[in-house]
Order: sequence, then C-alpha cells, then structure tokens
Amino acid sequence: MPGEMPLLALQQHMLRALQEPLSGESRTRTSLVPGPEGASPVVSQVADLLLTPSASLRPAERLELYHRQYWFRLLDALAEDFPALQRWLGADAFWDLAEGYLLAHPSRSFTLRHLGYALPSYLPDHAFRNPVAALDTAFALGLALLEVALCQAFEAGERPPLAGAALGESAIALQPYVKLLSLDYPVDTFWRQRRLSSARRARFARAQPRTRCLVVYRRGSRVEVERVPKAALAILVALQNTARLERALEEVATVPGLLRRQDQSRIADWFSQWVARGWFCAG
Amino acid sequence: MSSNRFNSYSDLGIGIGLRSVHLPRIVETLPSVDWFEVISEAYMVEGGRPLAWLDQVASHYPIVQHGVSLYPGSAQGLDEAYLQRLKELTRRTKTPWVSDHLCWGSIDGTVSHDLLPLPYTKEAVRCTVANIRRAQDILELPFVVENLSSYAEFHASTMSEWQFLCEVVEGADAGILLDVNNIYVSSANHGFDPYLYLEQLPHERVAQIHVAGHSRSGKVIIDTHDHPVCDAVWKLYARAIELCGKTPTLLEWDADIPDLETVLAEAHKARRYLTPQPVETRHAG
Repeated sequence: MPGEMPLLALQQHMLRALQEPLSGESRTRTSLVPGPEGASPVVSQVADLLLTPSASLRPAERLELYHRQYWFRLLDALAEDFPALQRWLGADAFWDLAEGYLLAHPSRSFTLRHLGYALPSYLPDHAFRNPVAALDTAFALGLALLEVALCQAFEAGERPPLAGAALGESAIALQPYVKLLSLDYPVDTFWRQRRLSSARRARFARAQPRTRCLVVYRRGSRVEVERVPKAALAILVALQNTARLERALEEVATVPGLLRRQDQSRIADWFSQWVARGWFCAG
Repeated sequence: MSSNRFNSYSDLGIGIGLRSVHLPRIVETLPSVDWFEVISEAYMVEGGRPLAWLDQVASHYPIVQHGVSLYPGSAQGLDEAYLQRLKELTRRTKTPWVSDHLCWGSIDGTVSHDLLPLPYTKEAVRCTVANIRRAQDILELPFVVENLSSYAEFHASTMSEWQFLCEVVEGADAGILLDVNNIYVSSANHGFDPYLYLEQLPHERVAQIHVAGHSRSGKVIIDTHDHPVCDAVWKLYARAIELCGKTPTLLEWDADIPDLETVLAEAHKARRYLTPQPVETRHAG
C-alpha cells in the first residue's frame, strides 16, 4: 500500500523520477506547468504511486511540475556558468551536453555554483547527438576549463599575501583565487567575444592547436583572465608543486628551451608584478 | 513587534531580500529599510565579491539568514559539513535566527536544489523534528521553519499541512517563518481554507513573516516571487498580524526583479498593517 511506504523509499522514488530526462512537451516549453503529454512513463508511474490528484491536475501533471523545475533550474545554472561554451556549441548542442552531464554527474553540493565543476572531465566522453558538435569538442573543452576556473576564482579564499622579501625564505603557495591554465586553443579570445558572426566563429574553428598560457585570478572583486609567457606559467606551476622559490626556478631552468634569454631578464619583473598583486601566500 | 524567543526577542520591522542586482545601489544610498534577509548558501563561500558585499551591507543593517539547502525533512539526516559552514556564516552575519523550509531535497548524496514537499505523516514528523533538533544543537541559534508552497499531495499523508507544521515546531521547539503567500498558493492549489490554516497555528511561535507575489499558470498558482503582492495575500497578512502581533516582515522578490525603489515601496506597504491606523471619526449627521 502506498500509505505504508517509508519516508526514505518515498524520497528515493521521487528524486529518481525527477532525474528522468524531460520528454514530450516538457522538452520544448519553458513554462513550468505541464501539458497533457508532458510526463514520461516513469514519471507517470511514480506519480500514481505517490501522489493524489487535485481538482484540476492528475498526479503525473503535479509531479511533472517538479520534474520541469528540477531540470530547468539545473540547466539554467549551467548556462549561467558556461555562457561562452553555450555560444560555441549553440543552444541545442549545449542542452544535449548539459543533460548528459547532469545524468552522469547529478549535483552533490549544497550550492549550484559547484554544479559544473566536473564538466571538463565529462565533456570529452559525451556522445553528441549532432555529430557536427562533436568536431568542436577540443575547443569546447578549453572553454569549459576556462569557465570552471572563472567560477572557482570568483569564490575562492584569500590568505594574507607575502611580501617580496619573504619569497626566498619561506614555503610559498599561490593564493587560492589564482588558477593556472595551459590550453591548446585561443578560448580566452573567444570568451571575450560577446557577439559572434558565423564567419568569426568559423575562424576560431579553424584555429590550429598551439599552447596558450593563462592565469585566471581575482583583482578586488573582479575576476580577470591574463595571457602569460610559457616560462612564466611554468614558474608558477613549479611554485605550486615545490613551494620553494629556488627549487621552482631550478626546475624550470632544466627544461630545454623553456626559459629563453629574454625570459630570464623578465623574471624579476614578473615576480614584482605577482607580489604587487598579492598572488603569493605562506605555503 | 512580536518579539519572542524564536526571533531572539528582536524588534526588526520591515526587510527585503538582499539581491545582487541591488547591491551597488544599497551600498551607495543606504536606503530606508529595517533589515536584509540573505540566502545563506549564496554567502557560504571562502572569499570574493559575495562576502565583500555582505560585510559592507552588514556594517549598516541587521542581517537575517534564510537557507534553501538544509532540507530538514530529509530521511537520511542533515549534511554535517553543510551545518558547519552554515554556522561559520552565522558568526559573520550575527543573524538573530536561522530559517529554512519545511521540505526535503536531497537523498543518497544527490541534491535536487528544489524545495520538495513532505508527506504529512508521523514518520515525517519524527524525522524532521530530529533533524531540526540537530540543527539547533550545532547552530546554537533559534531555528525557524517556513511553510512551503506546494503543488503535490501524497497518498501517504494522514494529517493536514498545518497539523504537520504544528507537530514539527512543537516537537522540535522551533519557530515558524510564516509565508502568507505560500499559504495562499497552496490553498488555491490544494483547495483548503487559508484562514483556517492561519487560525490553527501556534501564533506565539511565529518569528517572521514572508510576503511575495505569485503567478497563475494554467490550472495552478506558482510561487514565482516575480510580482507585487496581490490584495488577497495582503488580506491574509492583515489577519496574520491580528493573530500573531506585529512581526518582522520580509518582502521576497526574486525573479524579474525591478529597481530597488520599487521593491522597497512594495515592502513598505506592510507598514499599514503593522502601524495602528487612526480610527475614522464618524460625524453625527
């Protein structure tokens, strides 16, 4: 008897139904109220098991309202965090990706801000319905990595910054709001384009893979994206790994061809800029 | 104001929800409003702009925390890590009480990010009471539960929504965040008398009131928080004030948010019910 169903089982049934992909009218309309063909068979079955009808709605229509609410909220949250990825893929392919991602990685966090953090690890394996979208996944992956870094930098903590004189003496860490990226495509340039003609998009699609080094960081309350030389990023990565200035510089110096002559003369300038921005803290 | 132990005997008047779209204007103009309610989860972060704004606003106004992810009706108990982060934020905001919704929303580690309705059963009462008591132990602040707007009713329910709310708050010794718009929305969707609901509550436990707008969409009313408060909800609010006394009141406006002045003007409409009106003098003809 439904009346005897334990609370835990009831909640498990209901959440599993909400996680079912939207079907029928629910996929095409944006209003929360479902039409007569909105609910999938699984949702209808769970609705009949759990819910009573109202004077105006069948159980499936009542549950479908929550079903739409679940999906619209999560899809909207992803669209808000990945605007450039959505521009790149187009609305249909983005929905396709987001739906597959949410089925594979339902939210495990109390906050929607963390919802998309695993999208870069999921994206390469996603089977796009439209094979054209699949051709663009390398660029899309770069965009996803950049937009996750932006989200993380936005809310990351800030520790007391180290003064320049302390760098050689103590263990160093990068501020939590400093994120380092090495990407194959000019996704930062694309990310800055708020409007994009199809011709311009095509030029991005033809871009050849070449390493672009980016630092995503917070300045005041704004999140910034900055391209840095390959050697500069390598020093920052080595500092992150070794926590010691001397060791990090030695490590970078041993990589053949990484530290060019002009880079060596700029290292002091890089450090003074990074210190001025407060990027280092005690490790 | 209805000062009681569930709102830490505060005398807060009329507040509005702190929304990011209004933050620069609030900090610049310091508008006339008694307090701000914040969505706790928006500020449970390590750093950055949200906390910087919050600190600025908190230096000028009382802040009250309202949550959406505690899920006191969850059959598997509360997320302890979440509770600890919530507690950290209470230290920062100095909120006089903490509120969340009488709902569930997470099971087996998956979070729905929705306020899902509970079946009104003895088992759900026991579970919710135990969870709220745990939250109170950790937070060391009064805990206040908000009645939900809902679109579904369960076969399993054995009592009315207001009976369920009463049993939960009395069992957990918690306060009530009385959302009169939610009562209105649910009464229309489920066909009960909203005034009967109001009459049956333990009024001495009402710590705070919410008012908000809603939308009619086809055969149901949806709690959208995207309109001014309708007359029927103001009438229900007036009755709530008669029953509970003057109570800290907050206007929610969370979608299609207009400019700050429009939101404040809507919130201040509550004053006519909170401030005694002069009795009209009848002149003998």
